[in-house]
Amino acid sequence: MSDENFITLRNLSRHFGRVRAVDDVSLEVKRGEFFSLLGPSGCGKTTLMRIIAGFEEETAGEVFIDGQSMGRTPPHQRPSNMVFQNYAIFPHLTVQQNIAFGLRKEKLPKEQVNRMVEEALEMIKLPGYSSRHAHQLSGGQRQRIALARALIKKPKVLLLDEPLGALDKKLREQMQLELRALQKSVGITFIFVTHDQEEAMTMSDRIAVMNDGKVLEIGAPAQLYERPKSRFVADFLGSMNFFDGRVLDIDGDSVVVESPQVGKIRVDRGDAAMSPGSEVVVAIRPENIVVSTERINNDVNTVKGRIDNAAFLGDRSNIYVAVGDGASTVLTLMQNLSGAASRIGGQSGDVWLRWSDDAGILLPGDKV
Amino acid sequence: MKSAARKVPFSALGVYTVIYLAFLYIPALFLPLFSFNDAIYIAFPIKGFTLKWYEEMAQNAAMLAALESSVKLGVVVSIVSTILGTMAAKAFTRYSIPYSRSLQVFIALPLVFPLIILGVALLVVFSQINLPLSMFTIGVSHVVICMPFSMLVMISRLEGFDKGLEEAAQDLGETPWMTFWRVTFPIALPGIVASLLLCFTISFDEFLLAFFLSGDEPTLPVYIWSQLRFPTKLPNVLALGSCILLLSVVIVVLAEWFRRIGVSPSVEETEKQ
Amino acid sequence: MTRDTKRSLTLLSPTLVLLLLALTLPILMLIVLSFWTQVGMNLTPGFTLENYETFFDRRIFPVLLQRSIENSAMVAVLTVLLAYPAAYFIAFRVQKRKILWLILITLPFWTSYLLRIFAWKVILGYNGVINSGFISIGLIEEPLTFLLNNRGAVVITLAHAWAAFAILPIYVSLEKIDRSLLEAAADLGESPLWSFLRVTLPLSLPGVIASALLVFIPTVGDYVAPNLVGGTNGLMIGNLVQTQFGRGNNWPLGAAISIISMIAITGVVCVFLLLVHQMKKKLA
Repeated sequence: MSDENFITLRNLSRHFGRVRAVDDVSLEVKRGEFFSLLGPSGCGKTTLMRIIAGFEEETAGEVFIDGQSMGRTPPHQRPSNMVFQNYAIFPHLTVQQNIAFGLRKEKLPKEQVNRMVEEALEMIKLPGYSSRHAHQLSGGQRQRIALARALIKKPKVLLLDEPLGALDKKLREQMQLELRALQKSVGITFIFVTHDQEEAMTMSDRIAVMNDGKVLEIGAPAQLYERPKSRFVADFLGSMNFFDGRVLDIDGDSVVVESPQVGKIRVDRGDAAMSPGSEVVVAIRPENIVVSTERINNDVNTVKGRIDNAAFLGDRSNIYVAVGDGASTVLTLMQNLSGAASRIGGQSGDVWLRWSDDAGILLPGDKV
Repeated sequence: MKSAARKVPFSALGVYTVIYLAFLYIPALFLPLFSFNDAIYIAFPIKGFTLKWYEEMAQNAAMLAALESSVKLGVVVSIVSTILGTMAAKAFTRYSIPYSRSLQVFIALPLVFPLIILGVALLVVFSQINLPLSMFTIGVSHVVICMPFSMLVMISRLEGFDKGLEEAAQDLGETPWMTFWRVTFPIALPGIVASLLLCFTISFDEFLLAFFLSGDEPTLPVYIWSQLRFPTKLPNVLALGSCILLLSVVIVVLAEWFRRIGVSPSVEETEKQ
Repeated sequence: MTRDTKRSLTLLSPTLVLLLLALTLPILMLIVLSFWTQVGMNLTPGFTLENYETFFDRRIFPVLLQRSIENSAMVAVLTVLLAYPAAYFIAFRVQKRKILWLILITLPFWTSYLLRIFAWKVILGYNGVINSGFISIGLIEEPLTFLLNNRGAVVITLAHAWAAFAILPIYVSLEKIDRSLLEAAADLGESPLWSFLRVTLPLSLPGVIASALLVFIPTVGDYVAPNLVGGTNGLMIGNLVQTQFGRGNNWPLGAAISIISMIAITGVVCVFLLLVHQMKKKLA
């Protein structure tokens, strides 16, 4: 993957009357990257993708693909191809005709087209399917044919609009890995739209998290997950505990925060500017909190509580611990190592929670 | 095709469609135009404005008799056709019937069947069983062609109907009969009204079957036909025709309005095929 | 028999009985009658192929049937070609109030058929609207005689009368087309014209065929149009049938002509559908 910026969106906006579906979005996608647009329903990710493809006209801003401004170029002249959410497989054509559909203008000899289609079918693991019709295919098969149809044209960028949404869980997980492997082998830039954060994290090199038409943060999955810069992103990816508090003491790189919920928290300072008395939020992932039945005697990064509820999921348990006289609940995660997670639910007495100094993430206090 | 807001201020297709519409309407509009013309001949230039053809028409006893016959016939035919059509529609939408598609096609057959063959065939049957031609014989033939319309209207009305509503009503204690009156009927009512109006119009305007199967009392279209051979009666025919056209338009607009009350756009257009 | 099946049969039976008695039975009677003979007022039952022979003997009869089929075919093609762009416009270009457009376009079909055909007589006549209009503005001096009382007048009149009906099946099949298919075609590089040719047109073909058939079948036997605007040149098979049941007083012959016509119509429709099927195979 080169460091070249291949797709550039500059100050892109799309307004519908007073509604801002896309609000001043600027971002850059590198060549050969698997880039995801992630966000809840209605955040504007699909609209943004359709603007890149040329199906929506931007109210303001510009789209550049491989250095060229797209301007008013209609979709059929853009170097991008799209895999539609409902696949849009032509019902009146065979699999072969579907896959070869976009090749008409190139006027290639028949044998060559046949060969290309066969290679495409091999790539999507559906060899021999050329003469079948759309209604004979399952959802998963149609999805792959839509993929082959788009890729056979060797576009500069492939846009995928929630292509795995209609598949069942196991198939979806399998397709996620296959898509990722496929992308790496053909080397084409992928822009992937999804509302499923696990899916985005599994497949992407980088993710842009969107909400309300704006891009909030862009980064690699691990970076966004472990070091989110805003409450929304912290909350959207995975589960998160949020503790409001006030800065007590600043000591070099560490900050001590006093939280009414869990007492004193020591946390790395990061880049934020603050002074004693500032209001902040400390976010801690459930998996970074250890539950222990043995009393812990620290007065920082620890709290006592009782188990309120435990959801046993087989490989782990989600344990809800009531702390601070039961006023707040902390979510923790325990791996089921040698059955520990299956046993913990039965614990009715006091438990102690602890976490390390680098577990906490310091976020601005104004609940952004 | 593009969902982008690409504004095409001048659409060739739109212009075509408007011209198409104009050609659809203009020929018939000549009838009212010349019905006010103070001349026997239907020709340009227009001589003057007059209402006398309408006055004459209103006093024409034979015409009024034919009108009465047509109205009575239309009412009876529309009621019978709607009852049959609604029952058939209910059978097809509510229950799964073997050979459902084939049966529906069979019932819809009168819609495409060449009317003249139907007319003479019925004529043959009636004469073989020695049934004299009358309003009844016309009525039978009209019900045959109206009932499929009614069925199609009611099928599209009932198809969107959530069966869970009836089940919920019964679950809450209503008998099937009361469920019909409190739940099914109110929802189906606009469709029923539309069906009544459409069937009335079809029967009222129908000429060919009435021509073959009428006895002593002509229906209005048959009466008009008999007047067509008299050139001097032509303006009267125009006046009468214009009134009939207006009436049909009003009824059909009402019927369409009723038909679409509370129906989702995707359901309403499955009426044909 | 389950309770549901009983209920559904109860609901359906009056309709089926009516159709059996008033459609199937009459047609069967018609077939039987076609083998009888009639002289004057005497109808003689029996079995004879005389009427069928008469049909083929008198050259004018098959010619008339052929002409009727040709006329109807022309009418069907004409109405479909003219209706398609309008149907396309409403299905694809109209966003709001599609219903209004549809009502406007189909409204004429619900008005009196007789009056609409008569209107054309008024328009095309010797002293009619076109002639008197052109004369009064000085475009021509003598009335045009070729407008009325010929085959062309019949075809135009019928095409106009059925135009409103033809648009519906085409509209329905266009409306059903998944818009994302067209976006996919554009995305894969096809211009709007080619997207239309490769996606929209093929997918709307069932509606077009249905429309053509729904216009063709009823118009073959039309009686009113040839009678009012056809003259002798524009006669069609319906007039022939009516004559036999009217002053011709030969019901069995009329029956035979009707049966032959029905068979001919069915035959033409089958051949047409077969051709369409073959074409579909070739294009795949």
